[in-house]
Amino acid sequence: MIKHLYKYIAIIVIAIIFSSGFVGANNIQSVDDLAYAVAIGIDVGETERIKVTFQFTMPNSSGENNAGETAPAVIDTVEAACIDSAVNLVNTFVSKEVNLSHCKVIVISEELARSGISKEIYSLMNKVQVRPDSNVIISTTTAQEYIESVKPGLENLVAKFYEILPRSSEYTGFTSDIQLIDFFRNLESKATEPVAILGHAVSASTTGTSSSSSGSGSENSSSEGSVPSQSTAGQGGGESGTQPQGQGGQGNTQQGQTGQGGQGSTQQQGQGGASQGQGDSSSGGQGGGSEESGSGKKDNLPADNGIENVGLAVFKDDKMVGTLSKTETLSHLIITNKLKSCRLSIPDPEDETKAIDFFLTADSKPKIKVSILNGTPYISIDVKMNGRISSINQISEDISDERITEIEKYASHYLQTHISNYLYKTSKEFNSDISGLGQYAISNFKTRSEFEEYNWLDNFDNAFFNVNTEVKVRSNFLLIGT
Amino acid sequence: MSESKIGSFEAIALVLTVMVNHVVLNLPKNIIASTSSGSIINVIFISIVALLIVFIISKLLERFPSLDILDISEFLGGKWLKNITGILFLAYFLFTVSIILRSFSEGLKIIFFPRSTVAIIIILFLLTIVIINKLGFNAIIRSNLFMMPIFLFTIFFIFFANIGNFTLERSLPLLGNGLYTTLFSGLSNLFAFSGICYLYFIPPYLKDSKSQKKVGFISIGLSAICLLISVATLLFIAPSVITTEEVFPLYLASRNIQFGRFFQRLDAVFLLIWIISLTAYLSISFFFATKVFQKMLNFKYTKWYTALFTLFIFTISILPENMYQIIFIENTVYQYVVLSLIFVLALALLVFANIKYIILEKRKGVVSIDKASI
Repeated sequence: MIKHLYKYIAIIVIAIIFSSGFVGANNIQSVDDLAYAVAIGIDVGETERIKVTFQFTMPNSSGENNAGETAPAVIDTVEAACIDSAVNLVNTFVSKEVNLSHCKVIVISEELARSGISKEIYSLMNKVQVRPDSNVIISTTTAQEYIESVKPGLENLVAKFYEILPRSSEYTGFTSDIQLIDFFRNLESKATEPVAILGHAVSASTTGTSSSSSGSGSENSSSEGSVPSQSTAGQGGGESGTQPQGQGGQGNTQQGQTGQGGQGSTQQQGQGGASQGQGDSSSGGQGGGSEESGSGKKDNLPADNGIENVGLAVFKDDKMVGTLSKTETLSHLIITNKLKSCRLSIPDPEDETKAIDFFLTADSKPKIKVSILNGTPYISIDVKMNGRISSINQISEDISDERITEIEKYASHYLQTHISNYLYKTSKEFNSDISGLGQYAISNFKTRSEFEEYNWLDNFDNAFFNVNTEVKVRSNFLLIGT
Repeated sequence: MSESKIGSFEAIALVLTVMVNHVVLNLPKNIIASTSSGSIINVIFISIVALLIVFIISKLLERFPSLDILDISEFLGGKWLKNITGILFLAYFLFTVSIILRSFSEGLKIIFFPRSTVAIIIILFLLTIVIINKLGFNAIIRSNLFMMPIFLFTIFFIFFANIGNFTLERSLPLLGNGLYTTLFSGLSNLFAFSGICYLYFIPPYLKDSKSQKKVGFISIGLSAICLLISVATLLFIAPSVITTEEVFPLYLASRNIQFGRFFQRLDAVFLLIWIISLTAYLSISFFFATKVFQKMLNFKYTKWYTALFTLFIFTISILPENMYQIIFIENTVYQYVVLSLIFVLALALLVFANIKYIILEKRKGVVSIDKASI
């Protein structure tokens, strides 16, 4: 009897201990008690170090009653010394507790990025809630403006919009799906430097601003103006293949998603841009396109704002040092073997007023060899691409092996020039090995400490490149011809 | 606690459990921290050395079938040596259980229970292992055997699912910080094979005493593969600076896994499996701790001191004040404890016991040793 009594006492004591231990369980929130931030924007603060913008979604907005409607989003901005303080501050006036576990995008303003963002990146990586696959976007406009401009027209949920947005790199090659973990790895690496997605807000009120800031971002856009550019996925294969500005506008301007009829309107805008000439600027070019078609836009675009992600932001350590245009981004994707497919327009070697559009895919991983000659890196890169001719001028009548070979040679030379320009730009202008070529250089050193003593990242500006490209025309699409 | 003999598979699973848990916690991180990009060569090297040691242990145990290290030390030096050996191994089991428990609980607190105290998480684990031990050795071994494929699957799955994130060039230069660091000073990473400790205690439980050699080779061989796979995963996905800074490096690797937009955030599943895996490991170590104590003092029952050990483990596990102290104990203290106890002291005991056996054999002819005669 006493034995049983002891047992019961023991059970009661254990139950009391555990109930006191799990007092915190009373505070566990359900989904309705949490405010899920889908995007965080970080700007330079006016009174504090940073200004943080949170974009929240309504938890119940995906219900059946709201089918077909865009979910409402709530945007709050606070100034604080760090991200944690900002979260705390928002918690004081938002009725729910801020939760970052569904944060898909981290937008950082160019101004802040140029002053260094390691503190923010480390803080974010240190949080269990923040997913390592969140995208890092550097906005040439303010991050707040960028987030406020997001109005997904083709998606009901902002979170889904953010999730799908960077995936356009898989078929455009205009940007890259840079995630927080990639940025963090490269930031910590002794052999490579970080890059981030370059984006900006495009709105009626800020078109001029975005145009100018983007223009300054893509410094070499004017030099690229002489060469015809890539075409966009989906629409680049049409007759407008030779109008880069228009294509850029079509492929990446999210204005098309800002409202119903957006795509059609964007097309109008693109054509307007195309009529101005063949400048292959990235965001700058697009900004120009927007301006040129400004009058038409007012008439035809129901939604007058949006965002666009074109190009990449280049970093040296944790500081942004420059940007890459869309053609340079394509070169970056090729070198880093991240290109899945893209469309590229090159001048017709027989008639430079015409263009040939390619659907490009990588044939194999680029072969990269790095040797150190007298302390100077000499980098040899062999790139093999497959191309399908996607736009034709007429049904085939003069297609021949010689003609195919000629096109292949021309396309190879075209890519080779662009890749070389990209590599020399990152090396001489930015001194930033964003292609991760340092990983290939390590084999020249016996030990890791020898490599670290060599200080690859600071020696990268002495590098010389030898790029060989080979484009093989495999086939066309449905019609045969060139 | 009822005890019965176990088969080879159960014994292999038992030794593997130790390795899996250390791999999940911080073993690969420690190896990468000391040998950098030379980790793969280092793991291959220490695996070969570990297999050689297993071969030596098997040979040395051949003369003592169905005897554990305590019986052998009693044969060598009588009761006092048995008790000293017993105290050392008892301290090792309790120390390991305490530190691993605290380390894992801290990780769980960071990831899942930021608002709960770590003591509550530790108590939950301790209650579980006490209940499991009450169910008996058979329950521990069979459930462990049942779950082992799943434990192993997580390690292999993380490797294969992360292949897309690999940068193979991170393994260059292959010799990392140099030949000396990778091979000679890197030999201290032999502590990774702490599972060998259980080979000293398994023989009395084996159905077939001759299978001890097979159990040793297969379990340590599979452990070596697990270690290699997890070291390769961490080495290829991130610079070693990041890997060595992570609380749960393999958890970080699991966070990177996603298949399209539909299968994401699988890390919670892995953690659930690892919680079960840790419980299995703690139960096994706890069982052997109580058995060592029982054998030292010739107790018939283990009931009352099970509670005592539980309190003892709880006390030790909450002693470290912060994560830095835990990391220091795990990385430095544990390493030297394993090397000195398992690879030096226990091996020396076996060698001297064999020498004594040979001397006695020469003097008396055939020496018959079994539990009854000791």
